[in-house]
Amino acid sequence: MDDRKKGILSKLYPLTKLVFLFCAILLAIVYDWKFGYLIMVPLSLFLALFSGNFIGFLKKFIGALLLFVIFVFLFKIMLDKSDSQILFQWQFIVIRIQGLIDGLNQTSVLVVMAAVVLLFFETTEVEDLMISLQQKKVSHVVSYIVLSTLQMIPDMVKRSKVIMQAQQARGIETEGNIFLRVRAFFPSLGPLIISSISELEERAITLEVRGFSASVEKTFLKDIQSRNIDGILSLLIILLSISLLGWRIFLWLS
Amino acid sequence: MAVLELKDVTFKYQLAKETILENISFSIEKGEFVALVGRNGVGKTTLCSIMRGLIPTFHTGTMSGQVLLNGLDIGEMSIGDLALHIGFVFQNPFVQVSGVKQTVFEEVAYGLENLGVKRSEIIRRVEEMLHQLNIEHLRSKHPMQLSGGQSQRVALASVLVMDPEILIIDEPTSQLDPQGTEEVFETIRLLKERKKTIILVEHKVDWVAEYADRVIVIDDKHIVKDASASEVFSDPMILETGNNLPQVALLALRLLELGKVDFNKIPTTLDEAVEQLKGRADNGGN
Repeated sequence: MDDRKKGILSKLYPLTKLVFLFCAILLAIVYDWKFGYLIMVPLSLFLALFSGNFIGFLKKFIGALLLFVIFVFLFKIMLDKSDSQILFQWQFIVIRIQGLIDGLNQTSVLVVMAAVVLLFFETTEVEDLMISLQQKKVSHVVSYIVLSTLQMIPDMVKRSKVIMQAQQARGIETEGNIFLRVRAFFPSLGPLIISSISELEERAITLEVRGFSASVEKTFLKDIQSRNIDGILSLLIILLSISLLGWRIFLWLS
Repeated sequence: MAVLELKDVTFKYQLAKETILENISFSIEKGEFVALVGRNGVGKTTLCSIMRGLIPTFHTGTMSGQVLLNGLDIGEMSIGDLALHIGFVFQNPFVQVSGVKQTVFEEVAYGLENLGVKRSEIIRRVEEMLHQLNIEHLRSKHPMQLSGGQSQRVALASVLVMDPEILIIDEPTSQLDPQGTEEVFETIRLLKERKKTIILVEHKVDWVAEYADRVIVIDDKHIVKDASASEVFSDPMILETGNNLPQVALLALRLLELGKVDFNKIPTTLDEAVEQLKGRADNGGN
């Protein structure tokens, strides 16, 4: 049972990190772009240094940014019709300061979400998260559904390859131009779905045999425990969030 | 009192035209090792599912008769709680994985987690089971990436580790080489020493003759013979039910037919055959 994820953050109780995740997103929603871009993103990057896989985190983070943030950003800048100061102008492209700020505001929640969610999964095994949720009385059925779905995806990919090969062996063309590929898609889809369904029954029997629905309190092989540091950290994060939230509400009211 | 008792059980699958099993009755004592034999499709696996309580709850069909576990009707117990009493290893080893565990060690531990066994106890029992079935080297492999024989042993270990009083094992050695088969049978022998009740479906009759106490032969919906292993496997009638006899029994029958050697009893295990033939080879030789 060697830990697959290393780094100090991985040693924290998953729920502590979950508290951090929710507080960060909540605060990003109520505060403007400065909070997101100037505090949360640098903080996430700093924390990622302790995740044991900084480069991996950075790659995924930048990938996520490229995917949607830049799009939103470009739209905001292009569609800006305000008459604020012009920062940059080239032919029909005009970038105004208001557009830039709008763009930053719109994307800051997304950026914070991407950063903390990626950081969370970079430092937390889903299984550990599920165990900690089960310890907080979440049903083991929920936990099973989440975990088995995660495992099923690579399994299905593997199986579809086998089916493809089997169909190829029976003379169905699976390679070539796009039409050939689309046509080959259907004869492999049927067996994939049917075999998955028929396996469900046996999977269910397996679970019953392993006492899945035995009416006893479950235990866990993995030793996932909330330590003192987790309690203190959660409390600090919650207190800090509440005071920041209070401050924000105070600003709104005044 | 019988641990497991079937009373006049008849079953028909929902979409089938005919019943698959009719008027099946037998009772199994505690600590007994019973083997079920019969040709393919005769209903051995169906019978296993009936004994495990999966029929008629899980697979639909019409069933009559009663299955009693320690004198209580199995139909009135929940399938989940039956896991505490009856372990069931079925044929296809590739689907007998929980689908939520990353390593063989965790996979084997899964049943114990579900039964609420303490963590230290889980580790001890899993270690012991991995050692016993000789799969320690697989401990950190992914349970979905094993060969047939490997996953068959992992499936067996995952159920045995839960230590139920009754074990129903459906063809546990279909994917195993001779060495693996021997290890599985040795494990079953150990279980028998620990007074576990074992019901085994197996086509490898040489092994069955060697280890089982009692053999139930099923053919054409009915039990056609229910007797001790040595009695069943010395009966040439068994060949007509689509089953084989142990190699030594076949040899003995052939020798009898040729009139060369006389046997006071057809041997069914190697030891028995050696015992019977030894004396003659010494004094005759002709």
